[in-house]
Amino acid sequence: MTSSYGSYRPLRFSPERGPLARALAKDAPLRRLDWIMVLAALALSLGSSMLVWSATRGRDSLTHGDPQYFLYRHLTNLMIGLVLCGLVVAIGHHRIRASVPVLYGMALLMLVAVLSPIGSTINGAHSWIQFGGGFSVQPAEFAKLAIVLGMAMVLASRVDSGEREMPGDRSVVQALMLAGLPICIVLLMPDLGSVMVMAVIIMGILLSSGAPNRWVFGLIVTGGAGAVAIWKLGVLSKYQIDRFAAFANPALDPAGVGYNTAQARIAIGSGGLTGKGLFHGTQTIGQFVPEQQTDFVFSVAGEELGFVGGWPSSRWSA
Amino acid sequence: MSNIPETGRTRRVTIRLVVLQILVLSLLATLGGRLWYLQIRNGSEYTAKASSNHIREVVDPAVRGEILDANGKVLAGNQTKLVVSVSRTSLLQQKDHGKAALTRLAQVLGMNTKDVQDKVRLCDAKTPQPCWNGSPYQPIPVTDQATTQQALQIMERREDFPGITAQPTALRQYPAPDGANAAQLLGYLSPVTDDEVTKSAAKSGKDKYLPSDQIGRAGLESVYDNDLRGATGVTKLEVDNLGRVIGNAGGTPAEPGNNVVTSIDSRVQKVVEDNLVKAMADARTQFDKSTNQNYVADSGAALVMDVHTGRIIAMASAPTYDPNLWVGGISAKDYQNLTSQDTNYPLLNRVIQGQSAPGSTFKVVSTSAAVQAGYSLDGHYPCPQSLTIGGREFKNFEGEQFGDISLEKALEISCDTVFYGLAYDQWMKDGGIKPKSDPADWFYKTAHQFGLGAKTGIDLPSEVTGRVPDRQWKQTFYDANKDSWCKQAAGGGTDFATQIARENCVDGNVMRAGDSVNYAIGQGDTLVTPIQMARIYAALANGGTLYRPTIAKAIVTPSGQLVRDIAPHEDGKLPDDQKTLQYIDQATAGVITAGTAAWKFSGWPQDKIQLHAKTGTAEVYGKQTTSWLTTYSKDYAVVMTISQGGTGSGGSGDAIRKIYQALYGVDDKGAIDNGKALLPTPQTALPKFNPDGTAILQQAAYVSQAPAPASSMPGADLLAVEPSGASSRFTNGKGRA
Repeated sequence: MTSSYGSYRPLRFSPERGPLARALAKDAPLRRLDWIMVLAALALSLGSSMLVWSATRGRDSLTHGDPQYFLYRHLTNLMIGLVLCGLVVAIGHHRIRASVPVLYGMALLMLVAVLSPIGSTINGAHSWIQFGGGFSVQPAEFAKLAIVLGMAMVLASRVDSGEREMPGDRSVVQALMLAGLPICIVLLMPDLGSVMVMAVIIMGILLSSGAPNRWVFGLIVTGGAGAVAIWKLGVLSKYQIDRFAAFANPALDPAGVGYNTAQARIAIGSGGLTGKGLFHGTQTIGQFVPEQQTDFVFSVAGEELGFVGGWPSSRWSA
Repeated sequence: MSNIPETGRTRRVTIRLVVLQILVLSLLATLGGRLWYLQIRNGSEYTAKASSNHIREVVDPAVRGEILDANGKVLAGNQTKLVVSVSRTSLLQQKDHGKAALTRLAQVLGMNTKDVQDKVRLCDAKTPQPCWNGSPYQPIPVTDQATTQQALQIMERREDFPGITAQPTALRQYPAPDGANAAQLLGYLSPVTDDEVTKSAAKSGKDKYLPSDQIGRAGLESVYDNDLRGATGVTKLEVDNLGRVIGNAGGTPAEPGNNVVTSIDSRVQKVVEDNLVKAMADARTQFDKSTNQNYVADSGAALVMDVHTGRIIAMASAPTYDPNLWVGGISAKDYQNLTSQDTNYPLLNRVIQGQSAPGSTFKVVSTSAAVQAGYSLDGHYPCPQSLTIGGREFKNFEGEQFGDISLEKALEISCDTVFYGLAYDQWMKDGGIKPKSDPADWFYKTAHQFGLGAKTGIDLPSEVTGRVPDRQWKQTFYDANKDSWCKQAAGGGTDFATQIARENCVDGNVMRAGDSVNYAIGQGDTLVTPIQMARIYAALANGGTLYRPTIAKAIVTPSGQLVRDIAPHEDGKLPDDQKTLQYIDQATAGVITAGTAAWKFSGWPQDKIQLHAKTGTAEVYGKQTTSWLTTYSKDYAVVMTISQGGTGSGGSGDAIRKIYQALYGVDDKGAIDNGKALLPTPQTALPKFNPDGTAILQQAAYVSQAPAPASSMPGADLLAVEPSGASSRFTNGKGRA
């Protein structure tokens, strides 16, 4: 035995490897992570916490007098996110795939809950569930994940089992129905912004799943027609139309409908090449841009960090 | 598991993903391009927009410079008043938009709550006065009449009066030192108009008006506005989206304006003003035989000039007004009073804006003209009772006759017929009714050489030129009026005016004999201003130099350092040689001792202080005669004229004598007391200043000894408000805030 094998020792599965070695093993979740993406996301999250902090320091009506209120909140959210992220990595996508029906069902339940009296309205969209302590969730965000997971499960099942090279019409129809249900609920809220994001998600999934071209183009045409129909049928409320109008025409009514975009442009434009420095943006300090801590947070980056700072942050998001 | 790679990518999916990536990247590139466009290409534009977004300018008014008299007494200064102002931005931050605070303020000030609220509202098209039309970031003054107690109440209970301040603020004030009014001379201020602000927008520094500025509108306030007006300071405040102040972005401090030192002596000014008013009051007690009523004496002017420099020592115009009426905005009623016919336009400075025929005071010009035309000073000329020229009889004023007399005597006794004769002679030599192409026109040429028919260039606005009715003027006047004359003549009337019109229609452009002889005694169409006559008589006194009349002597900083001197300026010389000047000197002295003014100057110490004078009694069509008295001593020219005031000596003789008595310290009996003399010699030095800018005064405050006007005057003179009360604190010249 000894001689025939000589000094050769077959490498064998070794459950005795230390925890560090295990964590760093080639197939370990840590090594398989897309670290560039993780770090970019982390940097963006931290950076945007600063920007939100800058935007909210002086907004006493929002911060209840504590200038760091939003910073702490953001960091807390970030930690929660990191924990969730770690959990997902630890569980692994195979096990998650198995529980997709459950997750999808939970997301749907939450969406329905929003429509019930539990939900609350913020900025005209009845799409929030508020918990105590100032925390609130927007179930539409979970619905997006549910759509991704649900569609992926349906579209990949036949392909992964080797039955087909690409998803067939039946799979695509099933997947679209899976996505359609939450979209319908979100439309009832109505949260048009989320619907638009979901439509793009569906598009991306179909594209990357290798679904037939006719479905992809068909969906584009349907989306366009839907948009025209929504516009023409007057389903949109006034403020939604105004938002589109102000977006399309920057010079429109700078004191009224166009105020928000005009002020955002002034803030971003006045940042120049290098910006005014974090916490030194005059427009941010003067609170000229409404909703600067939410949808218009990029105007803080534009004003205080300038082209040099704003460009990478948009790059990083990519 | 399967034949599909572990990545799950078929070739087709890979291509799709690449396309998707390209799509996303190009979208990102678009975003980047847009960012570049906003921040780099148009960055400066947005920077400007951003600063107009968040920077608000609050104006910090500069203290206006003072106008000082020759001794440094404050003629126009600033008075500190407690101004209560309200900050709108602060009011709007309060829960009830300041309602409670304004109500409390109204209680403390004893005002109506609604009045206070109205004062702090912003003006717009629908809001009637009172309202605030300045910047909403500027504190809005509610009252400048707060008492110290009210101010303390406001400032000590800050929590009850948020955004309300009571602060001492400098307001213009005309303290009338020694009782000198000098209203028309000093002028007044009023706020700039929107139009002026717009027009000056492109300028910088002092030339750029701010909406809160007050600028000089008349008198010295207007001429030296640029010196007096300081540079307004600006505080730049950073504000947020609701206009709340969140920081200070620097600014420039206000710089006070410079002071103007004038040659006016407030004591002499008071004497001149009082004596003008007295002379007019006295004239109203005199009966005028030709109109069968007392003299009206509707207006008058008087001045004292330093003959060596042309500087004005005193300048009075009647009727006058209280210049303090303009401070803090003139009321509509007061303004109407100042600009109406009923009050005979007290805003007019009749020394430079009142013009009338000079009467016989013009004869010094005619004498010089005669000498230039070649008539001998030693010759004798007939002075008959009357001369008939061109079918019209020209009489001596009171029909007297003296035979052949010298020009000296003709001046002394003011014989008109001598000058009629000379002028007629000249008119004939120039071609008479068919003038030569190149007439000598000595009488007209000499008037121009004496500075008549043109502005003297005094440092006051809106001076008028007067008029020398020469051939050129005749033609211009004819061209302008021919049509209306001929129209009136065609009407066929037989009255005097229509007859004149008929004559004028035919040959109104031709210099007629009557025009020429009338002109030689200062009648007819001749018009002069008192300042022109004073300059002529000053030139006779100083050896023939026509100085440009000036009031300002120097510009000094608020602390008294010299900024610039305003030196006397020679505008020309009289055409007379020394012999002629001496001759006229002698003749005008004779007016005092033996001539037309002698009855008013009996007992005057002529051997010690020689005076010279020429009286004038100018006829005005449809009115009573204008009284003129033009005089000079070695150092001063004193001129007074009273519209519808009677004869030259009768109307102004006493007043002018009183003025000389005050200047030289002479009493009624002729005794000289140098101690009582206000100004035995003209003052040449500038006043000395304390380090704080107040003047070091040499003499004690002057107490006017002039009697009060004999009778209370109706109408116009009610406006001649004697400054009182507040002004007494300023008699020592320390009117500074």
